[in-house]
Amino acid sequence: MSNKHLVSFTDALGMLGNYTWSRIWEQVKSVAFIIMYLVVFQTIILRVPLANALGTAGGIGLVVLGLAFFLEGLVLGLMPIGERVGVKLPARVGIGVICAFGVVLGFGATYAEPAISTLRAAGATITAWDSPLLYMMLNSYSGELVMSVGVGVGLAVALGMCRFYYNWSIKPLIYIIIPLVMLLTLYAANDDKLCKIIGLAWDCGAVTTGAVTVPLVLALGIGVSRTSSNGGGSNGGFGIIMLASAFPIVAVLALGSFFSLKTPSPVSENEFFAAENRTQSAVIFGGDTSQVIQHAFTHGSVEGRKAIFASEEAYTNAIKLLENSDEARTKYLGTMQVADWILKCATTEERDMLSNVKLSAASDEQESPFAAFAPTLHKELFGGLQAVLPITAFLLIVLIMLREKLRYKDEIALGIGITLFGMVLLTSGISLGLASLGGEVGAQLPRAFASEEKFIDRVVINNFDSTMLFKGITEEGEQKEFFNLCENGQIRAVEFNAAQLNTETKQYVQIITEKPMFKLSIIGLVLVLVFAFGLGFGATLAEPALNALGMTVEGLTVGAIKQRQLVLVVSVGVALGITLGLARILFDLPLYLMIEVSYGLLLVLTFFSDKEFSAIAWDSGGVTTGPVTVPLVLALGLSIGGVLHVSDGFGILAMASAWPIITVLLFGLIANRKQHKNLKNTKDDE
Amino acid sequence: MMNSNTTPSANTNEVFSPSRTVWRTQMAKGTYPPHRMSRITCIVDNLLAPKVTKTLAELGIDNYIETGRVVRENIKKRPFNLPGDIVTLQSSPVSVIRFTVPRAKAKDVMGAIIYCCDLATPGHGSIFAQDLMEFSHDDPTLNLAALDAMPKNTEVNMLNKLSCITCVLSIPGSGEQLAKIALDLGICVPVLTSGTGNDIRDQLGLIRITIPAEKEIVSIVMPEQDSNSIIRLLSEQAKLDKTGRGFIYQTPVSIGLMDTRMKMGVQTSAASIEQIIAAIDSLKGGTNWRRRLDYSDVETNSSALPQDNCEVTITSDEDRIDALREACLKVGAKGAITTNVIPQINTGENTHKTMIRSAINIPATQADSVVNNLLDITSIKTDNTDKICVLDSPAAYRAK
Repeated sequence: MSNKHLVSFTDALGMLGNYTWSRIWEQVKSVAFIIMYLVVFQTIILRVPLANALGTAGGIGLVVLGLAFFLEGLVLGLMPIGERVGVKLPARVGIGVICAFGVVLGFGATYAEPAISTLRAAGATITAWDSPLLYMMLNSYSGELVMSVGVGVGLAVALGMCRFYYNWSIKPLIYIIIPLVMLLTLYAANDDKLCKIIGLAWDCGAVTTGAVTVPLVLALGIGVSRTSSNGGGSNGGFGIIMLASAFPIVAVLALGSFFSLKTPSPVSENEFFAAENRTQSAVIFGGDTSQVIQHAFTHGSVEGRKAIFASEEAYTNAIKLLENSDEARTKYLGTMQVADWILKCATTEERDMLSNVKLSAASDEQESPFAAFAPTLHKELFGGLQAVLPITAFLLIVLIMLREKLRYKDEIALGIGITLFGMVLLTSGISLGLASLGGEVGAQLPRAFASEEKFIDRVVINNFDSTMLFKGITEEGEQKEFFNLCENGQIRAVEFNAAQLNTETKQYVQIITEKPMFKLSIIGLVLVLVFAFGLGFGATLAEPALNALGMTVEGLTVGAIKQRQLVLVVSVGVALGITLGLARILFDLPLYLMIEVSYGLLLVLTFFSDKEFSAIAWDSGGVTTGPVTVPLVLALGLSIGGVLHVSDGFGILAMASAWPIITVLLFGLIANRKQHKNLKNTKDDE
Repeated sequence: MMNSNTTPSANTNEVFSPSRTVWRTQMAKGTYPPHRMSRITCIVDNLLAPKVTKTLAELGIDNYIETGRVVRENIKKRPFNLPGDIVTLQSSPVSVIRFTVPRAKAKDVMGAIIYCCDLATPGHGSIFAQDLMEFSHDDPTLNLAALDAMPKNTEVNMLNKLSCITCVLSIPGSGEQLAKIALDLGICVPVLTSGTGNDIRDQLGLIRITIPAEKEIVSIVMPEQDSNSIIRLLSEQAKLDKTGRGFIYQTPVSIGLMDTRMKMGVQTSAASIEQIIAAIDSLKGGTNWRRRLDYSDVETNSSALPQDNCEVTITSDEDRIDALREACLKVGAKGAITTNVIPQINTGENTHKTMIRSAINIPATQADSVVNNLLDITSIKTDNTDKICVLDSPAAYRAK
């Protein structure tokens, strides 16, 4: 390239400006919906002002920049490498080596983008007596869990490579694997230990395929299928992600059945915490009896806590010790703060026993809105390095071993750099902006349907004088006593409750509660479900892996399927799935049944769809649950699950990956029917 | 920049053909004698593509499939009985299947394909043949016995004196705009494909990332007499006079059957205008009656259309792309557009699967040297993977 055009500095600046702006504007459009939605929902429907609006806005800015850089980096750097490896590998080595490569890649990718922290969050409310196996798999055996998922993904990538190499159709694979997974799920549903890990298994399948892995595996698949396609269609390259979502389910269920042999059966709470069963219960915590006690405090109910202690008196003493003994606090609560415990776990009686503990002090610190930025960026930098570098290095090494030269090395290097930079900005932005916004709304949402008032805080009024009380009357003629409370220089009438007054110390404890928004809880429930639908829709629009998939599909079909179309269809599917998943939590529906029905429907739809579209559809299911959707959905599921005391927040993600497949297949069927109809119509014209 | 090894024999009366010059030169050399062939391009709906490939396999013809889409206008009534229609563009996926056959047999092969896909029905697709010179290692194959035995549609009246306009556009989305103009003018159903062109990018440093390598290619087949004015119109609409926006060129089509179904949806009259046109075409036996844009009507720009170009297409393994480009650049030929194609090889072993088709439009003066350079680096001397086609391109337009 000897005769290089010289572009003047101002021209270059103009070109760069246009280019950058177009990329950023695209992402502004993709996140605009979810941001507006959350802000409008919080400020107008829930009527709660935004906390730290400036910091959140900054975080959202990072999300936009991060998405723009990340996607551009994928297109410039990672995807070309992936496709190159995919094209060259079958030409130079045998299928054995390709499969080995697939296993290493899949396994490595799972470790590079660990989803275990996400799953832990979803399982934060799990109780050990009710779901011992699930609890153990998330805590004691989390290493084995990640490994089994990694093995599942590795085998899936290897099988996907075989599929391209031998040009197998995706449909027989679906017909073999999905019924198998469904049968396993059915089997697990009938086992009292295994039935608790169904949600975990299906969610594992949904979250494993991360934002870096998906585009890479897609590009790789396109490369391999290009070398082996027999003209059956050029839409090859899809299908690996579907396998990578299905195999981990089998792997996790298999691991679960293995561990279920040495896991105690679910027991009632009282039995679990009873002193005579202590050592047996401790098995779940790796033999550590102190953790059993902590679990009673952090996850159990008051019955459980009483069962821990020999007598009622010992229990009361223990609670009272929490008031000022640090030793007791660590012993009973572990890392949990006392104030947190009182707000989230304690009953009214326990709260009264600890009436001297200050509750609101913890959250009163005033911080700069951007205080969290530097540590978050720092933390996410390592996550980004871990997700991008090993996998890129692996592919580059493979290319070097194949003695393949890369064109445009500078462009690819820049692409990798931009991917990394974008990834760090994106994940930091999500945790600083999007997730905190989603968390705020999520935390307020249970108010929409809760039937009782929620305890928020208490204020102790000293030197309470009963002579200040005055009376009021209701329409029914019932008399009530009130007193005037001075707050921030303003007077407010507060209803007096004689039980809260201690006549000896002259202290009156005023309980501050939050009133439910709707008296009729059916409206509240509908509101929550509608909210979930919009949240799923908006979050999916911004999902980077889905956008990458859309770009690939648009490119391969030369625009016959537009990126925008696919993203919209998938988003509707995710929205439906999340709504259903949340409905499962709200109405306590059996998850296995929802899975069986959804996937049964999918098998039928797949039967009627053509094979290229089936592959695209099944892959869209795998890509939807990425870095944007997962934290938002989890925040929502957990806050609602916490209010309803459901055992776990699993299952939403499983539904969120099943339903986009359904919508995409339907979309494909409609498009296909149109195409057939057009062809047929032309005959009728004659 | 231009390398003038050969001067075109600019004969005043005889129509000058660059491909014939290439033919003469190579025949004189005798190393790689070219074959006089017809390249048939068949554009059919994806659902019909397997029928075409099956027919071609029976005939023993190697072919190359490219994916693309056709754009049609979809007309819907406005809701609530409001007056007027809503016109949207609707894309449907098509396969563009290209292959070469000996000129004498072109019509028969086309007849067989028209029969198997019922291309005579508007909306099923189109097919056209272009005469060109082909360089390949083996002689072209065609199972004559199978061709004779095959049912053919010989009744349909194919049009002649057509030309194919290829428009290569760099701005994403501009292909659809151009397609809409073609539809509005009622020219034909435009075909959109995609390709990559790295020539401008390669001359820049890292700033090249701001220019997309992906190009949209719009192909339009139309009556020859209108082509010059349509090229003018399209190049003005697509603002091709600005650097980096793309280029346009024309290649002659000897015989073809066009898809006349440009509109879909509500039809209020007994026959659509396309059907009427097709009927008159077949009555008149040509498209001459359609001439509507007088050449002199169109304002002549200062930039006259450069004449006497030639289109060179190379079908080869993807690995050779750099060598091909270098061979072209050596003689100053720029602007090659590369597309991935799926080879359907019926003869010999099928080892090369990642194949590309590169098309380059060059001035006649460069034709001989480009072909010489390409013949040296392609695999034509050793095996039958690579093929080079040289085709006249009487008009081309690109910004300086």
